[in-house]
Amino acid sequence: MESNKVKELQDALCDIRKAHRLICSFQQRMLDLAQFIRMKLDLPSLRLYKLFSEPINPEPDKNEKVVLSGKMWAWDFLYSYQLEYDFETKIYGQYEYAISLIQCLDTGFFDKEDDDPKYPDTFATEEDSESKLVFYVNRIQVNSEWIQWYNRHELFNDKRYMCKDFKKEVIDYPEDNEKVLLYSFPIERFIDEQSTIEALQEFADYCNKELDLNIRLI
Amino acid sequence: MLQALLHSKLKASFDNPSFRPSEDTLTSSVFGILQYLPDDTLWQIVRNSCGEGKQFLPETIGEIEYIDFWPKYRDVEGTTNRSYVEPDVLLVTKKYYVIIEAKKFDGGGQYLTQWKNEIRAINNEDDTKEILFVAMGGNSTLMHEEISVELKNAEVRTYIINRSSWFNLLNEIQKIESSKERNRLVTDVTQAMNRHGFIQIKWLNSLMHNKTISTESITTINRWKSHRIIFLEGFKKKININSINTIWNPIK
Repeated sequence: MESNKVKELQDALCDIRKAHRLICSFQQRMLDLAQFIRMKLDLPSLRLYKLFSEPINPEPDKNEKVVLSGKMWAWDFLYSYQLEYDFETKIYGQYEYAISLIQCLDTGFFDKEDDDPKYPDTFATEEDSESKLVFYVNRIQVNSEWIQWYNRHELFNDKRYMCKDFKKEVIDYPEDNEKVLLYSFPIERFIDEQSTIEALQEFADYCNKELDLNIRLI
Repeated sequence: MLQALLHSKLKASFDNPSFRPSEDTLTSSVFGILQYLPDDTLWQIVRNSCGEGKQFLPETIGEIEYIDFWPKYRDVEGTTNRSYVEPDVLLVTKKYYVIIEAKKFDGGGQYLTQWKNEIRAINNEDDTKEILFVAMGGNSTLMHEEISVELKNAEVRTYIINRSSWFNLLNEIQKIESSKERNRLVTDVTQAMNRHGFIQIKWLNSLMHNKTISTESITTINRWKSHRIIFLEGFKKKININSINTIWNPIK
């Protein structure tokens, strides 16, 4: 192999090591942030779901070995790229509501028309893309069935809501008696505790106004 | 930890050669160190760590006359205990008894009967001071709770249970105003809490990124072709698992 190509590859591998360590450091902070948000909004618990592509072990409870399969692709191994923090449900008066937080580290795929997520070189450039957190709230009447909640991952794959320009929307499902709210922030809004509290208050105010809830920061 | 040692609470933690953290070692390690802070600072940390109930806690409780660990209250009339009632930590000022009832983990374990027992037992002994209650850890919610307790003279009084979490407490400890002495205290109590499984929040503003990553590297990896790398390119395509031996060239 030509020596300059080997050198190029060594430099690229060094960048890969830097990238992994940076993402590890970043994800540690995101886990702390998610925990802080859970405490601040007094939410019951925290479950995680991988988004954007399939997890490599879709049934971890079965404790089976992961078998390399033809259906896997590289994004399956990159959990932090898009992730759902599911805080589960709470009851307020006549309503039950579920809150999730979507960590979308790269709007690049969602900002372009291309439908194939396997090739990042077709995404919008890194500089033109954004990293964001999107709050998802689903409200039903107490003792009603959750219907749209089971379809929520369609919204998390929808370019309308995951692109960088999306800010907020309330979606009404009158036939299912459900209302869904989405509220997007650039991740920079959560840079420290004070900024996080301000962002959470902004989200809570919008939520309470649109969904007639009483979400409070404690 | 010193308090746990002095009150003979360490037996279970040192049964076998390795240290096993317990509720008592956590309580002792944390409040055993925090007690050396100025009274107002200690109180602000405890108060600010509480959830919504902190609005019902006074901004100041005055000079702390003494702090007691696992005090035994033997007048158990009106409680469900037979011999004594033992809150975990008691802060005593001129005007207040502040009961801190601790549980080992955040998430569950606090319960009504124990709260009532502790309030009643302390009131049995001294009804001249107001009682404040902090449930530290063991809460599935940090919303405060109002409870009614029947006291010695048959009076029924309402008390507010202020819920807190070790997660919040550790976060408040990090905000202590810096000084040489306090930094040592903060370091020690933080490390003690780390040992018990509680890690302080790292915020995004501490994310260091002073190393350049070149996007040229992506081009390089995409161009990377060798007899081994064909396998890596296969991740973009479906992999036929029956071809695995061909791909790997098994070592003979």
